Amino acid sequence: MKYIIPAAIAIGVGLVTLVTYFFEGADILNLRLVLTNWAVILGGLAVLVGVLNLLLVHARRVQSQARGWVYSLVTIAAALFMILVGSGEGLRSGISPLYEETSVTRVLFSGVVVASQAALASLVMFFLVLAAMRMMRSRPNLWSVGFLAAVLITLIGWMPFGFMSTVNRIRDWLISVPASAGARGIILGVALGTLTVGIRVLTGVERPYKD
Amino acid sequence: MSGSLTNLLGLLIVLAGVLLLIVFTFLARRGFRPPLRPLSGYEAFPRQVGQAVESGGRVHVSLGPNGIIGEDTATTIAGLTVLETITRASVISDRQPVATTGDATALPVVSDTVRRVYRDSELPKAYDPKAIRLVALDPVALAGGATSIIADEDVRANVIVGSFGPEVALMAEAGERLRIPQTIGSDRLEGQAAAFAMADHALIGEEIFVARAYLTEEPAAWASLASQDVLRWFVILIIVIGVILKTLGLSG
Repeated sequence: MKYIIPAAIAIGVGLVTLVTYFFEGADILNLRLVLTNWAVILGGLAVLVGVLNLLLVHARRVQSQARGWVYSLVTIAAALFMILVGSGEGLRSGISPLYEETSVTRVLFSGVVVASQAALASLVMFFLVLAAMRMMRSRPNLWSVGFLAAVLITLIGWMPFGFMSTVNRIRDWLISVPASAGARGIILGVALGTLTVGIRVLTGVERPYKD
Repeated sequence: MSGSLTNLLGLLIVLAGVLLLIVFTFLARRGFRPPLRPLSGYEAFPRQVGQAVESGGRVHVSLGPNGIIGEDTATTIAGLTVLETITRASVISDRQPVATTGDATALPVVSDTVRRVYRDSELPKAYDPKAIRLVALDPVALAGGATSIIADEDVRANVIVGSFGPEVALMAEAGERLRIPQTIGSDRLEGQAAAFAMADHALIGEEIFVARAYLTEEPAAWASLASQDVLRWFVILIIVIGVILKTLGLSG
């Protein structure tokens, strides 16, 4: 019984959701909407559990003075501060403070969170070019040469100089023909993999919820 | 193609998948095993994990920013299979793998997967829930936050299987600096490109979804792999027929 009930719920909910993609009907769409809303509510509760997990993990690091514990202290302080300010502003205005232009939450979010993420994301390009160079040293084969050549042509091809029209054309061809064809093949493969995992869950073969 | 025809084709592929899974499961239980083409990522897995455990270190497994109530649920399930395998291999040591996720809905399932392995191994008290971390709710912040885990928590092998984009490069760079073995798989093209350039072993395309067939001896997993292969040929056939019809001017 311990296995049957969760499996029956998972399979039933999965089938209802799947069927709504293939058949139209107000009743079945409403049922899907109800299930989706439940999922959203569960997702919201999961965020609370997640935040608690984050605070506990970092509190433990501070307590044991693990390497970099000061950063954990900053994380806890920042999380608590944002929760308090966000909740306070939300209660006062009745809407999410992120939608208010002048709210402290929004200023902190766009000034600290978004800016930090942008800084991190900008590092990615350098790491990738560095990795392509490094790959030539660690794996000097035809694939590595092709990868590096594609990276360089694409990067240089974005430069807006008139005398580089040939490189621009090569870049366009690279993106629209071989890259596009390869990408479609990979995406089809991913879609089939996703489908197969979905079928495994729907048939009860794969049970990530088993105890 | 009209909406109803697309729906019909989709339904047909799903039904074909179910039918194939049933048939191949029946065959697999009678000894059928589909040929497994070599995938370096999975071949190196036992060695990578074994070396990390034997050297007294731990394995970092990141399941990405994907959860269990979205379109990338399958990727999360694939990551859980990898996590389960690594935890089983690590259970002999006192260093539990550190698992990171960027989605709150995945956190309980990730915890449960690791806890179940320890319970099955009759070591329930060895399970440490604090080794399961929700690092951040954003992919870039997750990748940035995980770099400090890789650097500070005695990580000796880095395994990343999730719905990562190019930000996976941040984690891979942290692993590269420590010169630890890395296996990276993503269902997104940008993440796969970064994995190809930076990881020792990259899992490309559908390779992340076949982890169970490569890492376990389960007939159902082999059946699933065989079904996936047959479905692939089915899709190729549909594409070829479509191209021929279009070329002959017979399509709408």
